[in-house]
Amino acid sequence: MSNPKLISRDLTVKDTFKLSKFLISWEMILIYILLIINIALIISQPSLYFANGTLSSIIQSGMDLSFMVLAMIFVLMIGAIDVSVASIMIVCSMVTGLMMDANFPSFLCVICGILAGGICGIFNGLLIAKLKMPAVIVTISTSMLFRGIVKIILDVNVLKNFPKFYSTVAWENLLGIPISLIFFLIAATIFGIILHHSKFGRELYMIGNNPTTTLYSGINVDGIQILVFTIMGLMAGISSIFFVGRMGGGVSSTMGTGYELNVIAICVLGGISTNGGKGRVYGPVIATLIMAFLIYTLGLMGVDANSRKILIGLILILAILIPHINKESIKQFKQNLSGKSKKASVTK
Amino acid sequence: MSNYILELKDVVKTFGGVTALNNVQFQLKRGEVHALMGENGAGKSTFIKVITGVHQPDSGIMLLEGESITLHSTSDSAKLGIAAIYQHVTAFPDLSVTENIFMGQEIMTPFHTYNWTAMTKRAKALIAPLSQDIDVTKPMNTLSVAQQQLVEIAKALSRDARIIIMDEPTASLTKTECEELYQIVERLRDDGVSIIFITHKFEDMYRLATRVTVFRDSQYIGTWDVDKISNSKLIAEMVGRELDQMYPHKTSKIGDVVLEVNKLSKEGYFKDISFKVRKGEILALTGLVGAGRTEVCQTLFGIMTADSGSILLEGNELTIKSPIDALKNGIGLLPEDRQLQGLVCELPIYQNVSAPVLKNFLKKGLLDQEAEIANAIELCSKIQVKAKDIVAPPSSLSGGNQQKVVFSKLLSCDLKVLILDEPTKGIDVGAKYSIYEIMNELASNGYAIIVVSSEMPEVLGTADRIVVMKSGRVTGEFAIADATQEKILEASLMKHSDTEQGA
Amino acid sequence: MSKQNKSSILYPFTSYKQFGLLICLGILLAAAALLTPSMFTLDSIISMLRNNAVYALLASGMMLVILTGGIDLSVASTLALTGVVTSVLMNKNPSIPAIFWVILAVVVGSLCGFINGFLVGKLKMIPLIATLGTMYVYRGLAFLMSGGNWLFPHQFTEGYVAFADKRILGVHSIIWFTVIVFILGGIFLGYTRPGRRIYAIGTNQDSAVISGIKPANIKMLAYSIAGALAGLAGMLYTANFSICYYGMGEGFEMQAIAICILGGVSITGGKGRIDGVVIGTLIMSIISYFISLLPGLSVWQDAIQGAIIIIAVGINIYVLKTGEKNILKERGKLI
Repeated sequence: MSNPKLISRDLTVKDTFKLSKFLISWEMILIYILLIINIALIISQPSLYFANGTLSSIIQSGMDLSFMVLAMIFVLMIGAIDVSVASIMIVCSMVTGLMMDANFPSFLCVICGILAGGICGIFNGLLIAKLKMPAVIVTISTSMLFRGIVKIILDVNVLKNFPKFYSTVAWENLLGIPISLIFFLIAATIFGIILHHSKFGRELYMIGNNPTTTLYSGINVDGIQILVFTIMGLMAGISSIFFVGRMGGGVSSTMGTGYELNVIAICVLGGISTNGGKGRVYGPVIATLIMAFLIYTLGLMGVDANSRKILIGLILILAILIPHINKESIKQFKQNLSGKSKKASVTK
Repeated sequence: MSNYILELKDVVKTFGGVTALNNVQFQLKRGEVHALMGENGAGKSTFIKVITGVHQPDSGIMLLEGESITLHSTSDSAKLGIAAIYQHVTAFPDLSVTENIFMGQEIMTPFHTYNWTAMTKRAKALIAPLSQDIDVTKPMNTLSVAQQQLVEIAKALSRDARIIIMDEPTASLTKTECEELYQIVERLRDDGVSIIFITHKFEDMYRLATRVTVFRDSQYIGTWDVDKISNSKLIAEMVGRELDQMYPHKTSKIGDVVLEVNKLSKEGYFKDISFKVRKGEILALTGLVGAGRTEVCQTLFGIMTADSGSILLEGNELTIKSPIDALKNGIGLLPEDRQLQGLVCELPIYQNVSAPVLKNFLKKGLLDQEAEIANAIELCSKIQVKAKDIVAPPSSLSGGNQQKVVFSKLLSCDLKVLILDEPTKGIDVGAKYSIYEIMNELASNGYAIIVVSSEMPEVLGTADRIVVMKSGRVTGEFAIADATQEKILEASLMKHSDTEQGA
Repeated sequence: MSKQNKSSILYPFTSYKQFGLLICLGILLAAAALLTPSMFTLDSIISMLRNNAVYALLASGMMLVILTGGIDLSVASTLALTGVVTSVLMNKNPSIPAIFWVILAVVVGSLCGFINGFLVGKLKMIPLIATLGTMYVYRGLAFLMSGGNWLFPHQFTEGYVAFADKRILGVHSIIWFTVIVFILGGIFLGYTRPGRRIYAIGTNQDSAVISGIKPANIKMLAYSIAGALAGLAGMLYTANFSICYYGMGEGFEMQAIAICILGGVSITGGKGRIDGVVIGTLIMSIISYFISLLPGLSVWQDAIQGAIIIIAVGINIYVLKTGEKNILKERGKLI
């Protein structure tokens, strides 16, 4: 209104690709961080870095939760959160393990394990979408409930009987590339296409930004919420394959605690807004790799697992604060400017 | 020495690039009731917020009893004896009446703890002259809107307010409640309190005010003694031009009944609502704020579901349980709050336009963004949306253009009935005209249109037929030929149970 | 209608806001007394209370945070951090009077809480994410402070242990601490300016701002108090069990949230009372008492608690909805 230059009746798209803008986008910054970590590793540990298998084992170490990261992008995108994913993953592992013990064909066991995750997800989704319970509270309590069920069934026992391919996908390489990475990239591509190019993806962005308008646009908001949590559950099931593989094929009721927080931290670092409606798939994909390299590097430096938690916590907080502080400080700066002009006019 | 208790000179306030107050003047005498009038979006609300210190003006001066003051927050204005009673009561719903009155200036014991006994006693004393039926220990959300307003008045009095600003206090009151409020306001005035009374109703102004100030398009228009200005002159000052110029000529031909609503009821909102809309017809649904009009529209669109009654589209009974059903049957809604319900302000315009019909743009299972953009450009150009380009977010547009984007969104659907809930709310006068033009053109194209509006001139200028609601009931229906402001006003204040109300 | 009720003798009881909870507690108590008469003695009740005192302290703090419309997931980590700080330092300086450690615990705890409050109030982070982050950080710091080592009973000084263990009037002092916190909490929430403002920002933050209240400051206060109580709980926890390691109290934040929700604290903020938390704590204690009685049942603990929270929230929402419906019905009469 005030700036006639910006307003016109010619509505054709005028913005073209701007390299300078692209180079400072959050995803590119993540790539720089990843590169810096790699360079640091090369400089400090050149022999190890170029040794056979180092890179692939670093990457493999981060792949067990990567599938949950992809689904968590959807969950955060609609402005919700799911802290029950680690428990669901254990439920899935347990279902597969128990069925293997009962000598069912292994493909059936795997599928049932993944479906068990889907059922847990539907349960979360129904409580959240239909009963309008807050997602945090629901998933906090279902994380206790699901893990509690595993505890009841397994008690202190450890399941050890899992399909053979579990360790293959978690530990082996194909043409020098970790198999888990290949699966992850395929899944990430599918999730990227869904989020950025499908009707469903568009609806996720709409719900995350404004659920009321989405409802008024004739979109089934409740149904989409339930579906998103179901996908989350299914992906937790798929994650369980890689998780159990990495754990050497044994599952007990207390494994994987805290994984949900890693998953959320990776998404947030990847630029997914916890308010919903913002972010892209490739941010968290790069962030997954960053986290793997970081944890591995810290391990090399002799930092133990518990202290690494501090880092994850700080990353979580900083990843949210940095963009926020930027915006605030710019606003503050503008206010200071206008404040000065206000004073000037008052004295006049 | 000043004659005025409060005086504002050349006050300017802008938000971003939008001017909300442009060189506004205002003078309030001691112990007068001063009416402040103007259309929606004229700048009245911003004006109150400047006086109460919520917003700080960009420039201009404010004099209290002749002395220049600067307000940094609401607590500053409260200290100086300025209190505001907002249109939407801004209380603490879960806290008691007592606590609502004293929040921010509690009575404490010597040990710095709440002195509940003293506060309850004082609250009772403050409430007693205003109303006998309010229990001060009950939570605020158990009271009626009228009672809550009385609590707000008591709150203002507890702070020894010398200036009380009332923002459309009578908007959702019954006639008896209005009369009670008038008497209270008169008593306050006689006690020496100066009152700024913001209202849309001429009745309020004639009954209470001695002077009236008019704002229009964020500007100060003038101040007059109430008994020295004619009704028509005042309206002309408010809307800025003669009435007949404001509305385009109607060109549509009215056809058969498209939508028929029979005895529609929803507990707590409305009861036995019946009306018909024809092809090419614009039906205005009017009445005071809170009469249940928006709820009727939301029920037709499936946001709420009715308890009983039927909705017939071209003779066939519909069950509408969600907006999905409504849109499938060809009923579209332009919601009241375009930013909260109509648009996703952060997403590009074209994505907003195609939101309800995404499945039309699927190509091999994926969205064809080129087609979406082309379609959105076509629709938006047709109704002359002005924007940087089609990927600009609606948050960068003016109110009028935002509303046009919502229109484009509706036009992308295949609809028979359009429900427009306050389509010109908060839109400047120039843009209003183009909204009316769009409405007319849509009617000519055969849409049946239901428009909800509180603005009397708009109702009279655009509609073919007028249905008036009051407290959840239809209290009058007029063809445009025999409708007058007086008749509509009478119907919108009428209460079928006014006699019961007194008991 | 309501006037008739008032004349009834039972009115003081039925009008009590937590009446339903009280009945629930009564039934559970009766069940305990009837089903396990031999086990349900004064001593076992006292030890039950002693075991749950820490939850009560955490829940009281959690309640303040939930009242502001937030949540604090870091309280259990705060408990661990302060517990580790005080017991490690106590072990190194056994000559310092034990009261010092209580004060230190409160100070360290409030510092942790203040950081949460700063992130949420001033920097406007989402409470869930902010406290999720600090939950990691505090737990990690606890590990660093302890060096990964455990402290065992023989390493605790007598004075230190006495703060939880000493019996006054036959009741352990850790229970007295809890009682005092409840009483102070009641006074704070009911009769002081900051306490009432916690309710004000929880019920309607915009109105609060118009009334001249600064939500950021009130939130910082609420989180700081929650942290202080978690700190106190940390010190008392180590004293009570004479044991200390960095992983202690994991999952206690869920216990605290569960107690609040059971006690009728509204998860959307603004509604809830300290007496609800008292009753909530008692109900939770009896449930865990039952679980502990039946030997095979200990593995059921998590599942049962998860289910209880879901059901409690469900009831909470149901009650809200019926309340709204009743208001609509009242209004319907006027139409």
